[in-house]
Amino acid sequence: MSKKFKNIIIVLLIPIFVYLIFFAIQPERFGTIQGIYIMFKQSFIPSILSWGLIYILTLGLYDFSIGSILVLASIIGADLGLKFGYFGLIFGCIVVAILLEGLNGIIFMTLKIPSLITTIGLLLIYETLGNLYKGGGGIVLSDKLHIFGRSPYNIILGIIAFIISFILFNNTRFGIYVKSVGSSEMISKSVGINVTKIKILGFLICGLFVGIASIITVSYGGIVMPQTGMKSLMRVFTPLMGCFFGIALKKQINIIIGIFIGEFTLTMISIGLITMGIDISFQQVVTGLFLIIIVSITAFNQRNIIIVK
Amino acid sequence: MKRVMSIIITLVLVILLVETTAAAATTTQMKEFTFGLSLWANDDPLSKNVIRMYEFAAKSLGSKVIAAADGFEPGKQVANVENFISMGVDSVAICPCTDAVIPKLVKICDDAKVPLTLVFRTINDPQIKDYVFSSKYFVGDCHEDELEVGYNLGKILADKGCKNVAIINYQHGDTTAENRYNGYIKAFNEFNVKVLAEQWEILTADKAAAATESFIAAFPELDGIAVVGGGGGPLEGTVTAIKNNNKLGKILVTGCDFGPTLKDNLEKKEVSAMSGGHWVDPFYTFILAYNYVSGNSLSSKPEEIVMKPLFIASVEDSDNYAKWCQGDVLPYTEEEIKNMTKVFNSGMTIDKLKEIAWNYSLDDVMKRHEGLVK
Repeated sequence: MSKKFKNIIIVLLIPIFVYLIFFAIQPERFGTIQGIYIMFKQSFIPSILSWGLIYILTLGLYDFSIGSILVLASIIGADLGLKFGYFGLIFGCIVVAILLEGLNGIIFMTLKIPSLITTIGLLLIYETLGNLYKGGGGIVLSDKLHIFGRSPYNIILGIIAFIISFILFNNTRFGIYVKSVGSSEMISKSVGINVTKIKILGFLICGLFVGIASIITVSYGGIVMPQTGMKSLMRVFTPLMGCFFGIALKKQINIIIGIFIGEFTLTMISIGLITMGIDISFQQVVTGLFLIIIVSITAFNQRNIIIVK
Repeated sequence: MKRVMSIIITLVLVILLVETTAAAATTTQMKEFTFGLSLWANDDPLSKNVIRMYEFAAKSLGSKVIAAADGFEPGKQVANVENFISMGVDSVAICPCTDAVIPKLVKICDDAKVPLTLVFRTINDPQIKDYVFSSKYFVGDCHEDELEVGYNLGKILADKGCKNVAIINYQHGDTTAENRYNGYIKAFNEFNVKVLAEQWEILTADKAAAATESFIAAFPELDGIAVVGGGGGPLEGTVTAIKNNNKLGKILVTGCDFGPTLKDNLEKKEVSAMSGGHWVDPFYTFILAYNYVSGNSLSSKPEEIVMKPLFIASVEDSDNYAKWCQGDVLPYTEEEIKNMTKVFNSGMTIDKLKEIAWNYSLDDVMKRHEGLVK
């Protein structure tokens, strides 16, 4: 058996293992075909955000404003959608998200404040803008514009996002530069990579994926209400966990694929706990523990490899 | 000619004197007070309506409001009250996130000698209630009979044939969420409706949609969902998920807290019944507080005011609600507000205020404002 094939099996064993646990506990409710399909669908929104966030993380940066950008882009996109149909919805969500992420990048590079602080500060501004937009009541998306909240259209959009992220990250010069800058800025500069440009582009690319996620989010829920008081920060953690999952397993499987497997596993845990009647607070405990275990096992294996070498 | 001029000038001066005296009298009657109002948020339909009504009432009485959001976090609620007091407000109103935070808030207000009212909440814990009601500066609270709200909506689901339901709720520990939930459970137990699952901490449409889809996947026998609250977003998310999974008409929904899609939901039969529109609740405690700070307290002890939320189950109800309660004319006019204060109406009593609150309904508003709203 080739090493590559063995690695894929190891990675796939994680969601299979989780599935078997919940199936053993609730065989009559968990893991039906419809259930698996719904888990698959629900994994796309956080995965799309992760596929954008991975560029930022690979560059060695953070972006805690993606949740607030998603909300603001959804609100404006929904409003434009009511005026101009699907064109307005798609254009509004994607353009607003890209512009705001671009602003993140420019402010970060200009002021040279840590990205963590910059993006948290901007999060507060974007939340307020969402609250001020059209009086702050949120925008209800007409039923006629809900197509991306339904399958197979949300899945199609998710697959498109996956393909774009996969190709960009693995098969383009930009992807190589992102990894290079993330690995060592000094070396990247010395070989002629424009580090500033790559970082700003990283934010812009993240914006594209936040925009795609906004389209599905507002179509899925039918309405997006503004969120203030840093509540949008909660939207960052699930995609962040997906990224950590992908990074933890990058030796075994491509990071972009690993992200989806991670989000699918997390969604499976969430739904598995719902079928057991377990409260959402406890779900978060289990999810957090699961992530720590996976990352610890992977980190342990990598340390062992180094020792053996 | 000189004589005529002097008469005219005298008349003008007399008129000016009378007007100035009248203005001075009005100013004396309506001293400007400042009211602090701390709510969970200021960006959802419910909180926006509350603030609008509160500010209108204050303005009608020549007063001001400082509103602040606290995210339903105890620390933030304490901080807001402390901030209000440091800003020199004359009274504080707050929607407490849990009974446990109330004694701390009462102590802060007692130490600062600033009256405190609670909005949308009653106190469930008897020990805390005793402590709070013994406070010199606690003026009172207003709340809805949330047990009855939950019970009535649960009964509606049972009457419509639901046998297997799920519950979507917001915060654990929140009195309203818990009381509505208990009301639902009481109805479900009484009418043999099984609760298959419940999800709490759901405050956004997409989270509600995800929870609903999970219920649909896990429980094929599901035929009803009770959305206990959360300001409108969760209800919309639930309804959207039901439609996206082709379960409209097969899974019935009830909701609390009217959202922006109220009429649409009823028109398309996406929701069986809703209760809400009780954003006038803080207004009644405002009246209590205003009378207190203007030196005309309606009662010598803290008072509890109870009101009934509106029940809306038809498009006609929804249209009337939008027209009579949410239009340019609010549920209470400036004149009606002034008449609830002893400053303008010496015959006002606490019993009359309680009666006004208890009688609040769509019919009540339509009757009082006939001719005012076009």
